[in-house]
Amino acid sequence: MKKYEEYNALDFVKDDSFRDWVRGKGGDEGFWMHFLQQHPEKKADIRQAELLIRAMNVAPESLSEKEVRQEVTQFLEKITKPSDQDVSTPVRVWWQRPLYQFAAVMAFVILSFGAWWAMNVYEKTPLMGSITAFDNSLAETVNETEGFLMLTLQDGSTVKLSPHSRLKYAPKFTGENREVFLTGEALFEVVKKKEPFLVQTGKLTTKVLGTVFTVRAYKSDNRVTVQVRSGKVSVYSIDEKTPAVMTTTKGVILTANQAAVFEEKEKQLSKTLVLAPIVLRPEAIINHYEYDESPLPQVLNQLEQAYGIHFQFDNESLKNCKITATLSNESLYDKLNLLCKITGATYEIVDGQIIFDAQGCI
Amino acid sequence: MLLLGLVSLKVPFEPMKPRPKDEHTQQLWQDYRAGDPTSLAQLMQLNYSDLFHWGVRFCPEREMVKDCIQELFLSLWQIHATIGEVENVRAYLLKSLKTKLLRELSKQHNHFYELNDDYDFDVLFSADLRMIEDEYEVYQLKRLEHVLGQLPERQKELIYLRFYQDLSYDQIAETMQIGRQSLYNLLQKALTSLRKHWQVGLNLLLVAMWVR
Repeated sequence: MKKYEEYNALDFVKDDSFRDWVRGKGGDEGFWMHFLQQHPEKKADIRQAELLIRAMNVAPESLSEKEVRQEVTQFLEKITKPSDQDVSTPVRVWWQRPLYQFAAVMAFVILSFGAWWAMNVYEKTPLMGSITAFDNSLAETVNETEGFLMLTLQDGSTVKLSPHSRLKYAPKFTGENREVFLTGEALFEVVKKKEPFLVQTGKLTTKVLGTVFTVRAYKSDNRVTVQVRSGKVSVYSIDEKTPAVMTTTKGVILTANQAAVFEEKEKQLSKTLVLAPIVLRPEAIINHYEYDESPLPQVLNQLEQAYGIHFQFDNESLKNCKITATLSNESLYDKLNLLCKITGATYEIVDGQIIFDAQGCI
Repeated sequence: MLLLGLVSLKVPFEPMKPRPKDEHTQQLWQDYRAGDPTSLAQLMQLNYSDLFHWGVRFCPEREMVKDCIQELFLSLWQIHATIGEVENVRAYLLKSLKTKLLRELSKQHNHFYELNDDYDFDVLFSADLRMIEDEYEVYQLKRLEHVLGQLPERQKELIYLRFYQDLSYDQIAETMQIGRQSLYNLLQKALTSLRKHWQVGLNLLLVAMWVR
């Protein structure tokens, strides 16, 4: 305990706690008020000390928050940009880039985690090697707004980050993979490069293989969904026991209109179709969905080509089913339901394919 | 009256944002060393106004100070993999900026400034008169302001670091690159001359009152 009762004015001036109290910054408010009451004889010294400290005041420089922000942003841009680029060139955001550069953009990915999974599993326990191996060299962008947040990665790939989602990524991709870590939902437009683009989402890894594709997932409580619009991606689930090894036996390759669902509870990765398949090749519908006594296999073959989804059916038993109908912009599933109604058939989606089952028509 | 005056002690001198806690600063420093650019950027942001204020003491050109701060952090980033632990991050930053600025000024003025050398330190003390109603106390503060302005540069620098930047003695010693003992001597000198002049003023005032 310091012997404050023996202090003179200059001793008080030199004291840390006293200085902070006078400047309204310390946490010893109670102590000093009490001390004053106990030692009224020190009031003169304390007042002198206060005046001295008041005299040593210096006015702040006028420096706006905006100026500080500008400087910090400028700094961050300089150090996160690849060194071979001229630092003075302003970065063009994705929509400013010429259209031809979009030709190089090859992948669209949307991944999502349900809130349950994100909150309860991700936050509490490290899920896998690559998550625990999050090191501090990664930049993190958190979208706390209610809208989408666009960001451009160093390789030119862009990410549309959904609300309440976060993405960790290397300011500069090095090594053999371009790897990002996602919690929540995001749409990726991946620029084609030699290095594979990996989206790590805890137990699931999505790898961009080639051509144009969309992976899309929906918010649900305890599953991860990856949906592909066109092109090819592979999705791996990660074995917790051997986090470093990604084996294809635990993975699926998704092509157009296919999706992968990873059920958190069952730890099962299964292949299915996207919720809203889109027509990939409109030219395959030569008769514009107008069928007049057309055999069912012919209709299914057209749909198969248009949507790029594999149909399994027994040609022999279905060839007698004749379809007279006009289809239009209804969804694929509506079309299939209609065909089933006409022919008394059923269909199911197994492993990303459509299996059409009918007793046959007479 | 005295107690009334003391209530005013609770009023902060300047409406500044609280400085980051040391533990927070240390954590950011560790993260920066581990290679996280955003941690270094946060350190820059948190310390920017203090560094800028400090820089302007040596060099009145705002843009040059900004450039030096920018360069300081860029060079810090370049050495993130090799730089070691730093006990006092704030003091380290202040010291580094000072070195950089003095080196820049040496180039410009063709004159070699060294730490502890006779470089300019431009600080204007302007007493905080808020909630001081007693005219005699206002007079005392004005007089102290004047005496502070007359102090040698290094003493002004020390007082500035102690009462503007709110540094601890350890941090000041590191920033000014002098030993603890020299620091105490310097502070004692400054305060003694303050009190001496102050008391002269006090006596003069009494004489004036007595004559009247």
